Amino acid sequence: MWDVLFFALFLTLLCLPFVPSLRELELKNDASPLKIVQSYDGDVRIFAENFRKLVNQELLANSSGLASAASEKFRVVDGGFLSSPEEQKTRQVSDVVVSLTPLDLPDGFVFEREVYGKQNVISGYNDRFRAILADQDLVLKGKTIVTRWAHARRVWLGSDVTVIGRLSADEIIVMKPSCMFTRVNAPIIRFGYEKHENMPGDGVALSDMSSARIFSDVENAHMDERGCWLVKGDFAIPPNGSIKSNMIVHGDLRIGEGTVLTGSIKTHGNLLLDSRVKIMGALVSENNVTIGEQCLIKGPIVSEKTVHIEPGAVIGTINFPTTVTAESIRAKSGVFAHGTLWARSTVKVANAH
Amino acid sequence: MIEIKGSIPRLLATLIVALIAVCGSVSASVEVNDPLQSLLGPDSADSYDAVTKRDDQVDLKANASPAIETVDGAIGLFGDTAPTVFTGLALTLLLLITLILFYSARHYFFTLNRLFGTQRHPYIDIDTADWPSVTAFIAAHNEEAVIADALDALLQVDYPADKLVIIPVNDRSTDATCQIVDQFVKKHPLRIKPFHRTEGKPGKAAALKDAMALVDSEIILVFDADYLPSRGLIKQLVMPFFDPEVGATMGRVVPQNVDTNLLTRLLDLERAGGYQVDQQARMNMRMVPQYGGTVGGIRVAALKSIGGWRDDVLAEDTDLTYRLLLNNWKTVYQNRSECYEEVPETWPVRVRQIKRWTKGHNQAFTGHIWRLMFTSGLRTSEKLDGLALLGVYAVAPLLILGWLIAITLFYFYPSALVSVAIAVFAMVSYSALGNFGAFFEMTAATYLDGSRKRARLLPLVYFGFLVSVVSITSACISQVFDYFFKREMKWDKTARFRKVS
Repeated sequence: MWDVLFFALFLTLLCLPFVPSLRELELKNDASPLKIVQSYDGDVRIFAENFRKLVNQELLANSSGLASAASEKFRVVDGGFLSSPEEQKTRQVSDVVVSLTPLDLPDGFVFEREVYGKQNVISGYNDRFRAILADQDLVLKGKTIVTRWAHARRVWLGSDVTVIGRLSADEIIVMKPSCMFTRVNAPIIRFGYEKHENMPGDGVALSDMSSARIFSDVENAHMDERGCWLVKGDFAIPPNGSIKSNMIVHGDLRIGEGTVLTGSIKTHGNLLLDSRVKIMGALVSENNVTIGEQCLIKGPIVSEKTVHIEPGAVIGTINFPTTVTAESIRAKSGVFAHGTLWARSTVKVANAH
Repeated sequence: MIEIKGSIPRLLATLIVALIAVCGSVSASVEVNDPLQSLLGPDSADSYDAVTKRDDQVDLKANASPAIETVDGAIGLFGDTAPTVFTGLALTLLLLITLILFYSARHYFFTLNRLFGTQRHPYIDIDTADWPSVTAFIAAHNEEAVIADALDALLQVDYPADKLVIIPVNDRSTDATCQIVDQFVKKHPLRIKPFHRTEGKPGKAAALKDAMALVDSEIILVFDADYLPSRGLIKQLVMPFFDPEVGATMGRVVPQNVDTNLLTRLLDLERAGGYQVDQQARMNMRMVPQYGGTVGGIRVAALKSIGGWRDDVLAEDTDLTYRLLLNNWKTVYQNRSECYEEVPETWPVRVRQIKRWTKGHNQAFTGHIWRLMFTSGLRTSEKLDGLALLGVYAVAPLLILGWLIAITLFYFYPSALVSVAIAVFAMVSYSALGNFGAFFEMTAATYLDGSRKRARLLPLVYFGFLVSVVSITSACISQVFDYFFKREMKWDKTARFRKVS
């Protein structure tokens, strides 16, 4: 009797896990392949493009007298933004705002939906936007926050502006110190409004210190089978060096002032570039990267920690835009970049000194 | 006759019947061992004990099989060498326990890292760059069912058109693959360069080796013909190559035919655990992510520096990973670079696939283990993980060997220490076979993928593992015979199941 009970209990416990298994096998509650968006290509402007299309469809529908297909309420303004008494009280606008003429927005408002200007858009101070799009210039005044994305032909950011999502422009983005963002893309990105006397790369003397001389007395360095200089441990390249190959350094690397390197660099430790260094390749580091003043970097620049960029440095070129990607990026006023800066936490613009 | 309708009740009934049969046979054998009780009757309990103890001694001496005599002073099966043999077996068993514990711990380690550790995706955000030139190979042998879709997908990727060349490698196909490829070439002559191979050694690696003559790009990507790359995939696979230390990249393969049958659902779980957890954990900890032979890229300079493709190996992907590693090239795994694939839909195809992987992997084991142990310049984590990865397909036959030793020790030498060792072995081998180690990985993968309901299938994965253990062991034994009898190992293409559209 006890034997029978024991085996019955044993069988029950053994078979119990199979019940949900067999049920799932039969019912296929979760049998779809993992979703891969086949059309996704990471385009930074995708939200702006899709929103523009949606607005144009909506405007077309309105002008044709057709019913609106959009789920949100659109407010089309012409000749300036006027808030309702209710909105002035709450300082909140819940409609999608579309302007056919230059748009000047009041201070201290929260725009819960997208704002789109077919010409210039100028925000107020301390405004908050979900997303903002301008077909011409976009000016975000001080302490403005954008939580999803912002795009325009040209973008100008005042002090302490924060863009939590994507910030992109078709021509140029200029930002004052203390701005913060996570991902920015434009053919020209200018940090700060200051001008620098010298173009980056100016004053770089053609070096007579070749790589053979640089590495000649270095015991832990050799040219490996891959055709690149491999250094085991920390290393410092003296000023005005010239290296025409890739470099892999298993420790920290410091590149002396005025050095020209035609190739890419990978360091397992920190990477520090003194001023006026020219790198015609990528910089990749498992730690921090510091780019000195007046450096010229072709890119991309990849860091698993922080990238610091000093004034006067230029990242990428107008013809060969590139990417700077890191956990965080600190760029000082006076830096130029062409392409994308993308931080997993934040990109911050600091004062030059 | 009782008729049971529905697949769930049928399967459950089968399981119950099987278990009853096993338990019944065990019960029957227990009863046969006590014949005296039935002769003496139920009232003879007191005298029964005295009688049975005396008679037991007589029975033991008269009827005992030599195999169950104790070692000390008994005529054992192994004679005077018995203590040495048993000690050797016990030590071997302890070693196997340690090894299997190591692999179990490795599963846990990877999963915990994946769930709670820092995740590394250093290259994934490179969206703007001066992109290098790329050649995308599509390996095709009788792929009329799928190749058109693969070519269509590659033609629509977001990559500078002047920097991407597509080369379908038509390897001695006898179906309409050649005609389909030529139709595409007619429409896109600047973008597709066909390579029709009509002779030469069979196998993907041999075909790719011959096709390298057409390559003048910096990077090559390899896709199987049943793969469907998304628009952003090429850039994602190429991004890591800006790092001069990177020799190969690998994306994540995602089964597309998941809902076909039990096998495809089990393989979906297995793939999820392997890529979402295993590969990414290795990437996080700077170990050895493996190049998988498809949905992956290789730097041409790296490939040339290690001697190019090898056509004398069954698992060219594993072999390549190690040759790159031993020449200081790194392999990068990109978890977000996903691509659909077709997994086997029948058990015979699955068994053939895993046997090929086993033999190929073991080839890499024998080919690279010594050099891996003694090569300088590698991180300790890379060496340890590299060694562990090489030995992965040896675990299954060692598991079975362990059970055989355990059973032998149990019957020939039933001391307390051995009993404890057997108990430990039972526990760890069950764990390694799928209780928590690999199960934990798969569950974590479904959690990370946001598809948690499929974790309910985990108990059924145990049967998949049993098939794998037997197949792998069989392949290992066959490989030993291949070696001694100098049999050539043949590359066996995995069958496709998609219908021609």
